[in-house]
Amino acid sequence: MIPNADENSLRDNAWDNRYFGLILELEERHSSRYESQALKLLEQKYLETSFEGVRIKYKLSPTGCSFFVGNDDSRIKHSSWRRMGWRKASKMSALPNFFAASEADVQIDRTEY
Amino acid sequence: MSISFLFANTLSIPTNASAVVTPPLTKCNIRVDNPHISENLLRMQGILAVKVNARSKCNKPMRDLVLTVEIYKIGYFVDHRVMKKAVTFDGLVYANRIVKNQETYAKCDNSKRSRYYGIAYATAFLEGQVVETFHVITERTVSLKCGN
Repeated sequence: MIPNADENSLRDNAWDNRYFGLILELEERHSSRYESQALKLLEQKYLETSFEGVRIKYKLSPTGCSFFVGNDDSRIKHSSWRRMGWRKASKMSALPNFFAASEADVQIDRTEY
Repeated sequence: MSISFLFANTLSIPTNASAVVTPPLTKCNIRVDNPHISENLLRMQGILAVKVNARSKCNKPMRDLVLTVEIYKIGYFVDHRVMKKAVTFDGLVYANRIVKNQETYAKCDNSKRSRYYGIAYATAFLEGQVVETFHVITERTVSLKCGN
């Protein structure tokens, strides 16, 4: 591994603590819901949920999954795609963290940047 | 190390006098860090993940900035995208305000050594028109103990 020794590196430990801490918290708190969502998504390839009044859409592709956060389709607030592999089992294990990351997008305050 | 790239010089005002060269009025740039193993994730949660950070800065106010970061793994024949994250900053982004995408990470499946690079780009409304930046690639392709 090459250490990032650049003094001007963009790394921000405070942000990382907050962001990854929130994802972990959500993943623990909603583990059973995420598991059932994962099963549903694997079956239907598409899932729409709502978290704190914000709509989140998930779409499964052969090698990964996308999410789109936002109530208005023409103004998606955040989106992401993550590679999860071809196998159903690898998707099943990756999806809970992906669900938590999407819901963290709804909750996290980015004004402190 | 990180890399900066100037972009959006497209907003120099056209003049009738063709001999007059107008300097670019807009100085916007994107900086993208090299891929690295997230020490925070490893330390706090025992999760091995590759991460790429990016930031955007512009000397003009913008609206509805979308800053996207993608992480790629070098493959035998083609490179594989492993993660893409687009973060939207709704409304007005003041001139010279730094906005960051520090949310792009991909968990490692194992500790097999692989090579990664990142790409960052942005779109925004600038002076009434949609402006899209060039795609900025990380300065280095980094070999990490992170199979994906």
